[in-house]
Amino acid sequence: MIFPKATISEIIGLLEAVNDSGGIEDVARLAADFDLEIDEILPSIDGAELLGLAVVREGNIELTTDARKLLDAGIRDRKKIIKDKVASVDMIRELIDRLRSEEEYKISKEEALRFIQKKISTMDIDSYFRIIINWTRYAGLIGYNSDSEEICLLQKER
Amino acid sequence: MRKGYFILWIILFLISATIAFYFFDFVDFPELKLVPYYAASSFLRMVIAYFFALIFALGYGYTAATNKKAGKMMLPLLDILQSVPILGFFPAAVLFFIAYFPGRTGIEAAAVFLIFTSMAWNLAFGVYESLTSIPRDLIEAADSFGIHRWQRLESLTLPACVPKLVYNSIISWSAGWFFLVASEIISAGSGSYRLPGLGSFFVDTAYSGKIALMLIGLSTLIIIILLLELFIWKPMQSWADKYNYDYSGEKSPGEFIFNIKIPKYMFRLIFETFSNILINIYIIFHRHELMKRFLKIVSYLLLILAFSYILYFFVILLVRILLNMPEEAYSIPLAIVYSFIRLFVAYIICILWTIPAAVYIARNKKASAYLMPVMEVSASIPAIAFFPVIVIVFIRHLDIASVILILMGMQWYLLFNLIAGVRSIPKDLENVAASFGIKGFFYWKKVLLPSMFPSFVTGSITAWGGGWNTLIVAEYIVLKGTEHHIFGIGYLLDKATFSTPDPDMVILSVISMVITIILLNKVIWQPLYRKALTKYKIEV
Amino acid sequence: MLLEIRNVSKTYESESNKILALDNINFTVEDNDFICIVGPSGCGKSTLLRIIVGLEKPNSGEVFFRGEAIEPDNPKVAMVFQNFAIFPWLTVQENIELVLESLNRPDEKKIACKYIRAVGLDGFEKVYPRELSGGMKQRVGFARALAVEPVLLCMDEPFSSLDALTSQNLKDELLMLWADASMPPDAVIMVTHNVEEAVYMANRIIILSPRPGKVMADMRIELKRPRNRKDPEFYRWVDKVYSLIV
Repeated sequence: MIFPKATISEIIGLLEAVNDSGGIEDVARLAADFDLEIDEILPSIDGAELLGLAVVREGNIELTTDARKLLDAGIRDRKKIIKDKVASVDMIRELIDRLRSEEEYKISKEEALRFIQKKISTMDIDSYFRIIINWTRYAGLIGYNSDSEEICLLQKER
Repeated sequence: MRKGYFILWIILFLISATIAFYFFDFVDFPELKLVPYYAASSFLRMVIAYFFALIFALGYGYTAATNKKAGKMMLPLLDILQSVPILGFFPAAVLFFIAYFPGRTGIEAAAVFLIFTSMAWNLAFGVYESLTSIPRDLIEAADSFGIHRWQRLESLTLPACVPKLVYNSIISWSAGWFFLVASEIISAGSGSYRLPGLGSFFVDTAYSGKIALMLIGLSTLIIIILLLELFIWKPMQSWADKYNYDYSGEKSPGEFIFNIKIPKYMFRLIFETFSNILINIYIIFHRHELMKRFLKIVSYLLLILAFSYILYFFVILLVRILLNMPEEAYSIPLAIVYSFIRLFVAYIICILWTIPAAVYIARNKKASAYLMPVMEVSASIPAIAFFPVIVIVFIRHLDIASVILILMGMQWYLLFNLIAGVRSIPKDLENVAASFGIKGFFYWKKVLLPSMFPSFVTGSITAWGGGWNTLIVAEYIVLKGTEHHIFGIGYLLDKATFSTPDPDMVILSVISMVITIILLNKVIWQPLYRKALTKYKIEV
Repeated sequence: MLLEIRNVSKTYESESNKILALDNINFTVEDNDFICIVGPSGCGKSTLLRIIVGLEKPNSGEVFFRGEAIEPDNPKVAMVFQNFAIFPWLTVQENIELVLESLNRPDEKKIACKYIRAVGLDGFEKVYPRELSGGMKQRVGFARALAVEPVLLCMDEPFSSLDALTSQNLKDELLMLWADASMPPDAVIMVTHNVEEAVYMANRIIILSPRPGKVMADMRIELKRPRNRKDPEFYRWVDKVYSLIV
């Protein structure tokens, strides 16, 4: 699978911009508005799609109803919506299941990297790790302790 | 007044005073006539040692850079050699060389060897890093263009070679001065072997109470060091800096006292010739497969020979010593503990004064404009030169004297690193502190001290290195034929060399000391260094 | 009247010459002002902000906060920095508690927690800055500034070291906090070189001239919130500001 290298902030920023254009916008124009190359904006678009917040059709990006709900919400409620969305991403759900099966709901970074490597074959595994933690931490699902180099479930119910 | 000018006046005064003393016989000391001879002998030792160190560095660095397998062994070895207190080897070297060349030649060889060891490792690293940083495609380009087109490479490969070698040569020389003076002082103190030189001149004059003479000797040394600094190193460094492309971490030389405009083409000429030879050798060896293979075999043979000789030598020696442990060997652990306590006390004093001083100097523009040149000058004088003076003042309290000496060997490293550390704190972090009212104790604890942590760790590592070295001269002193000592590893080493020669004890002491230092590095400094790099690193 | 800037001038002296950076600046700040100071680079707008918070002293003129001369550590004025300026050796929570501790606020933990949640950083409390993306870092900057519950919030190009999309997101979130009446501050002064950003954020724009910086215009932006950058009305305001600069 491919996994987009975009942070949650970038994805929400993208949604806001599309919203300003009335909920649908040409991808090329969107990129031009932000002074970005197409390949610089693509990860954020892929991210929005993966989270079910936008659909791309014929070169246009369109917000989903969930995205509109997200944009109308305040900072706290946005976080809740993002949490549901992130938790429904296949790889992250599998990672959460994996953590739930562990004694103390945590695994080493090494192991997490191996897990990710199996799903995404890439040379640049570290930056994917960082993005995934960016998502899951914002969503309040999975955290990373850099001192012990472990990732752990933030909510400890099975 | 431009910053540092008053330093210049002091230097001028010292020069003219010294010249006056020489030529007008203001003081009628026959010893004075010998000062130029002493100065020349000391300087010559440095030059010879530097020459050998350079040759060694080129060979070692080249082999490590071109032969991957050998490099895997050679680099860690270099790392260990670098962390070892060189002065600890001096006694061993004296015994070794005296056995082969009796008399003056032996002791001269030992001194040159000691200075050599203080210069060589760091230069070898420089060569290795320079050669490995020549991009691979440049060598291939050289192949395709043919050797006569090496001129094309010149502008590209020069930057790789020059700055590192210049920079490391400067470090090597200042380390060399320390060990030169140290070796002369030790040998003069031993009574049995003498090295004519400024170091032994300090000892003789100080111990016989001719302080004026000693000061003249000292200013001669200062003048030599400063002249080298002003006319060779600083101009060379500012010249080499132009070729610099990846030195972001290194401190830029800036203005020393003032910059002398030496015709830059001089250095250019020297270094172009030098690096062209280097590059050409490198390219020739890479062009011809046969040559490459031949070289590989030769270097393997040499390496195997060297390693097996060392192994053989050490195994035999160790087995012999271990089978027949000298009685005194059992006091080595305790001696190390005693010495460690001295180092620790000096280190604590060092921390206590350098941290506030560094903050003050770095923060206070006026103070730093005046103090920095003074300190750079005092730091460039090997601390050990003050040794005889401290000895005669504190001879009854050698414990105090030794701590003061160790302090002098440690403090500059820490101070200069900390000043650089305070200066590199981003303005924005200071603004946060000011605008959110973070001040006083709280400011020191949460802002200032943590941001100084990385420079504190690097400073501490070098300071402890300096401390272990100073130990060797600080624990055993022969003053007017009488031996004074305090118990410690330095004392054991010196005693086994000079008063009751015992090669086994020398080797055992050196090995124990090296093991202690390596252990301390692994257990304390390396983890701290890692932490400094991750947690305390300020991203700019 | 919250803040008064009266006849402020600033000169920089180098070895040979004097450079006039700010020339006789006058304006006042009222409650509910969201002021953007706009000007080309080098017009001294950051210097002006630093004078306003008391980090620098003007050569002449004064800054009064509620009638009294400004002090840099005034807890009623807080600052957000362009390059975040958060301490790498402290966690997110410690970074925020640090400023509360230095002000001797009781229950600093509770206050820190409140503002960490307000900017959406919950879950990041124990994290060191090196693991944060730029957007998250600047959220720490916001949380820290808001945590001292300032009356006036000063921001020096707070979005200019972020990528375009992240800065879009952070601007909207900042405006949400601004719209929330239960949240500090009462007024904002933000420095920016980006006219669109200023029109998007501010209800009042002060335009500085190129060196030496002088107040060229002081105008209200009568656009209702939430604003839309694609709105023709928005463009008219942007054009209007541009026409005053050029």
